[in-house]
Formats: sequence, C-alpha cells, structure tokens
Amino acid sequence: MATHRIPILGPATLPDASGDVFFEPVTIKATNDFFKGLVLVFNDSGNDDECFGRFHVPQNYVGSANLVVVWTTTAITGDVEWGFAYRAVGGNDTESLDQATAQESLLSGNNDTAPSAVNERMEYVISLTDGNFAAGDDVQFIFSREGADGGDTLAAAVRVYGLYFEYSDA
Amino acid sequence: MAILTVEILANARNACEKLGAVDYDKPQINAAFQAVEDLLTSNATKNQINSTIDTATAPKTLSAAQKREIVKAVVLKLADRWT
Repeated sequence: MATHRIPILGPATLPDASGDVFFEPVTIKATNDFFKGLVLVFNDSGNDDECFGRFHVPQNYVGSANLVVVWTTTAITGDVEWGFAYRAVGGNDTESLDQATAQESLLSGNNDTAPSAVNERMEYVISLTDGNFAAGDDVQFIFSREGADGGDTLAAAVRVYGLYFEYSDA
Repeated sequence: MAILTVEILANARNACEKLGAVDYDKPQINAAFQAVEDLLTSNATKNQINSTIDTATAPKTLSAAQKREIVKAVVLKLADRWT
C-alpha cells in the first residue's frame, strides 16, 4: 500500500467574487524574486473567502483520503482557519454534476498556526471521510479561508502553494 | 467612541501587513487600532491639538476646518517619520 498525492488546483479553479481570493505572482509578496510562478492568495479580509474547483479520484484509490494544504505567509503569529466542502459524483448517467449541497463540510476547527519564521513552508492536513470517495469519481469542492471565524487570528494574507488530494492504494 | 467596522479593520490590518512581517494576531491588532482611534478622536486629544495649533499660530487663529485638514495632512504625510 502506497500513499499518493495529486494536485487539485488547475484550470477548473475559480476564486469567488470577493476580490480577496486570487492568483498572484510569488514575487509580489516574496522578497527574493528568484523562483517565480503563481500562488493562490487569501487576503486577511475578515470574511469567509472561497475558491472552487474539481478533481478526479484516481483509479487506484482505496482509502485514507486527506486534503493537504501547503501554504505560507509573512505573519509569524496567529492561526489561519481552513475550510473544505465537497461532493463526489460518480457513475455513468446516474448522478447529477449540478449538485446543490456538499456531501461533507469541514468548515471549522481546521486551524494551523503561523510559521515560526516568515515564508516557511507549512503543511496542514484535513481528514476526509474515505467512504465518500470511489475510484473514478469526479469531486467538486469549495476550499476556503474562514476569515470570519474567531479561530482565524492571523493578521495577514496567506499564500497557498499547493492543494493536494492524498490517498492510499491497495 | 466610534466602533471600527470589520471592513475598516481589515483595510488597516492589510496596510500594516505591507509594512513588514506581521508579529501580532488579529484580535490584538484590532484592539490596538480601536484604542488609537479612540485616543485620537477623544475630546481631550482634540482640545490639546486645538490649543497646540492656536499657540503656534497666535495671534492668528485658524478655523476648525483648517485645523482638521492640517491634522489629516500630518497623519497622511508625516507618519512615516515617526519612530
């Protein structure tokens, strides 16, 4: 049994309309301007800000489903609170891809403390319910920073470098 | 005392963030912003600024509107010099 991680940010990723979630060049908030590229930024807006997307559950999926957030910030104190809601849709001509509710909403208690030094790589894991996923499903999700929650005390924008679906095979 | 809204506080925090590493958390900085706002808008502070300007410009006296513009300009343009 091996553990795998697949990136789930991609062409289908859509920030909400708040203006506080967006892709931005690394160089705007980083200082060395050596490695460039885009990162997903969640401002410190004081509101719940969301990003939408979808991914495909690999054919060798068996269980141990997790969401892995790789992030950093210029803050060195306070907590960021992450949220994740999703619905897995499977089959052929059986389930609607236009769903109105989430299958599981993990919108509170997912707090990760600020890095001990500016811009250090942070990794936070949110446990998902294994039985909600099956090989071949398409998963639609809402990934959010729960800025309105009292648990989000980090007074700065956070930058998401990667979002991964982690699972184990047989 | 005017209570600062969530939006005003967020803008102020983001402005602070641009000045460097953030080594305070959100409740702390919100409380600090509110405290400074309360201090700067208190009657005691206003009276003190008023009399300071009057002393400086005597025997001339500036209008209240002129004094307000001067204080705003000081905060906007001279604050970077403060340590």
